[in-house]
Amino acid sequence: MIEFANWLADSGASQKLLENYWIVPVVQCIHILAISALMGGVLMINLRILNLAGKGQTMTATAQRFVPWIWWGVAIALITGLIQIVAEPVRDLVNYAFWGKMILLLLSMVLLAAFQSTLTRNLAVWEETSSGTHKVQVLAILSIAMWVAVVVLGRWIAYAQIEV
Amino acid sequence: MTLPQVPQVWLDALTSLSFSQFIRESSWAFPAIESIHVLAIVLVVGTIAIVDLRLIGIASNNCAVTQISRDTLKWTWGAFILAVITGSLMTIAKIDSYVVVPSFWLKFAFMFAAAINMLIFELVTFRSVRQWDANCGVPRAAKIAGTLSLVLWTLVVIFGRWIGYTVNFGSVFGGGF
Repeated sequence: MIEFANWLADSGASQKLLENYWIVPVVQCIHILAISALMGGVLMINLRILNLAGKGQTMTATAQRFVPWIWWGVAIALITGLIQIVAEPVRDLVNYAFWGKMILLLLSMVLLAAFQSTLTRNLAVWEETSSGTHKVQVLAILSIAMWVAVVVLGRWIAYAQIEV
Repeated sequence: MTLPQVPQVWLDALTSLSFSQFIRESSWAFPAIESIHVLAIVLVVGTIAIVDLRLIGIASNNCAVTQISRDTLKWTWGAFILAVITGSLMTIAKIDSYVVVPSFWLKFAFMFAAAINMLIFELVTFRSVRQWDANCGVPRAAKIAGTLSLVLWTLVVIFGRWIGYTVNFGSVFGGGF
């Protein structure tokens, strides 16, 4: 990974991004705003499952409202994240906080996709229940915890750089 | 840009507090507080945006405005309190390096503007909410308030992020923005 990071750092794309020193902070701002949009959705869907918010709306309606915003938020965060990696490959790729964040992000995305798929397969069940079953509620708490960890580890990348 | 002047005695008093010294000297305290701060802000902005988008008419249009604010508002305020606590700790610990940064003052200026916008909306526009609660006919004043709120909070995030770059890269980003 260190070799790859060094190779990427020496590439023209990486040099260009660093020469224009304003690009990384600007991209970081967009990254944070995209995460805000998706975290609002994550919170509202999971609170709906936990019966703590959105009781006036069915589970299906809540998911329809917020799931697309989560996926779009993830998409924008991935693009802006990729630009940051190209700009500072060693800072990000040789970094435990970064890889921890990536693993939890992947798990969160799998969980969201699974939720979407069970929602469409068991439409009637979800339409009728006022909140998730006990098992789903545990997953909702897990989902919030994982996304919170993604955000915290994301900020921690700046402090977990390994000297190479 | 002329920045507000804070008396040196005040700066010294704040930076010499024992918890200020601890935050500056500890290897984990500042990153930990900052991470919680980012998390809190992400939740503040994310939940505010849900209400703003409803007011503008972009999303949640089938849900009553009062319902959506009831669902989001307590989380917004909870996260906001967390952001204020963590933000204060960071600010006090390194106040001397922040007061010379334009982004720092601009962030608070935009937060103040967002607060005024919210107050006007709450005290004036929201009073007639019963007439436009459940349908899409949100009055223009409410749409303007929602748009302003989105713009102002976006600026708060941008200038908040920029503080870090001006403090650490003063020569690159200069005293100006």
